[in-house]
Amino acid sequence: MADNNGTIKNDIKIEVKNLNFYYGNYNLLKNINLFFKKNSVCTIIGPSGCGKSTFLRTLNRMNDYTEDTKLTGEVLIDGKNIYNRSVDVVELRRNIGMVFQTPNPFPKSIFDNVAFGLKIHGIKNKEFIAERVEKCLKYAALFDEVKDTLYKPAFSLSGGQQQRLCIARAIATNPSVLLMDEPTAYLDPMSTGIILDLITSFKKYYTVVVVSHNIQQAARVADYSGFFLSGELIEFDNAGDFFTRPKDKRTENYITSRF
Amino acid sequence: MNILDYELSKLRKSIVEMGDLVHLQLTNATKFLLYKDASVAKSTMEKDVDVNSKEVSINENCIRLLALYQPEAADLMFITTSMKIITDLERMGDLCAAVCQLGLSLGEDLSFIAENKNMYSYFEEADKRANEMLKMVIKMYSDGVKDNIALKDIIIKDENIIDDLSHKIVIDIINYSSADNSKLENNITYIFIARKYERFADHAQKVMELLLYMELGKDVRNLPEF
Repeated sequence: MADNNGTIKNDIKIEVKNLNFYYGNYNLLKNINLFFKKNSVCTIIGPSGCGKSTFLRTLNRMNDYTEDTKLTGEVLIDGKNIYNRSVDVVELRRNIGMVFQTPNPFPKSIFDNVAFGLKIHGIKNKEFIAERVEKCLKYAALFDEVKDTLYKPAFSLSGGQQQRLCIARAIATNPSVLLMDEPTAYLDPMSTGIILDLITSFKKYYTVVVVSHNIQQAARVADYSGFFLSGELIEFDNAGDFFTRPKDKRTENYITSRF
Repeated sequence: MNILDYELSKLRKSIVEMGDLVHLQLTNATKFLLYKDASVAKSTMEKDVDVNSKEVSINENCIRLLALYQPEAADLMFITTSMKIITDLERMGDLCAAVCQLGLSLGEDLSFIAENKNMYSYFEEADKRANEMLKMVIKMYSDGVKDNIALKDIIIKDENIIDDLSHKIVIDIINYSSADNSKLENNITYIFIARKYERFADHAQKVMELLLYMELGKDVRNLPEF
């Protein structure tokens, strides 16, 4: 896959090599090899329990704290293995923003939610922070709705707004990669539409990896798509081919709901 | 503009380009018929490949749009209608190439043209009308069917006129042949060529019908005025 597409090395943002992941003795991710190009949106689809969320979490070492797990293989971001001992995990996560299924703002004000990441990275310049917060809220298409209520609690927002706040928070530290774990799972169609459009516009700045249950939404935003089944990567291809002429029968069955 | 709107505007543009290409093909085919410049015929026949490959690439793109964006309502109608329109445009391109192919078999003798100025003026007229029809259906497609609904009647009228012209050409050829049947094969070829113009106009009218169906949800072909 990686080699056939004729991709120039420099275009690759994330490369996953021979990745295996174990919960205890259970081999959850089996020898995953793929790459994500810079400034592209890649969606990962697959049934529940196929390992797609776990895979996403290996990309920013979110599984480090889960007990009794083991990982082999490499995840290279900009050519460097993020599992090297020398890697500073805090810095790594600054570079990799993450958005989760359920909106999970901090119990703080809207402003502080976005400013939080900047503050823990030691930025003290208030003007800079205010500017950055405004910019991120604008990027997340939320600013106009909250510009007069920036110091109200984040929980006063609707679900869709909270999710966009989480997106603003994730991009505040100026990451180059954005990981999204079913970002629209709990949102109404309107909010979902806004977030899908956001994801498409984000590829100008970031490399975006989205895990999704929803095949239609995954198709809508994707440049590339991958299908996971029982911990294996069955197929990975550009979205046009993936959703019109999948090469593997199992992919075809899944995306046509014949499972 | 959301991503699908952007994709649809790109699709619209590519079909307008395909229409322009077919327009050029017809113009050149007729030019060849009137002036017998074989190089024009050859280049027109070669360019038919471009029309064909445009159909393939637009079709592929439409399938991609359907698969990735699951369009609904007007967007769905627009894409599926686009897929049908390009089939007709491709056929129209084929007809232009066929005019050239048949024309080449007539040889380079210009004397027949001088003797049959009247019949040749019918070809010129059919070419003009057919190109106008093509322009009108592309305008309906790109600028909105409802805003250009008035073009419908002009298109139908033009189609009838081209039918008449084609018939007149046949009559002329019959008269000519009965006087001098030494070039019967050539004369029959002219009838075939006239038939290509008629078919071209049929396809243009069909595109218009598809557009009305897209907009109104009615198959206008079954209405009495057709």
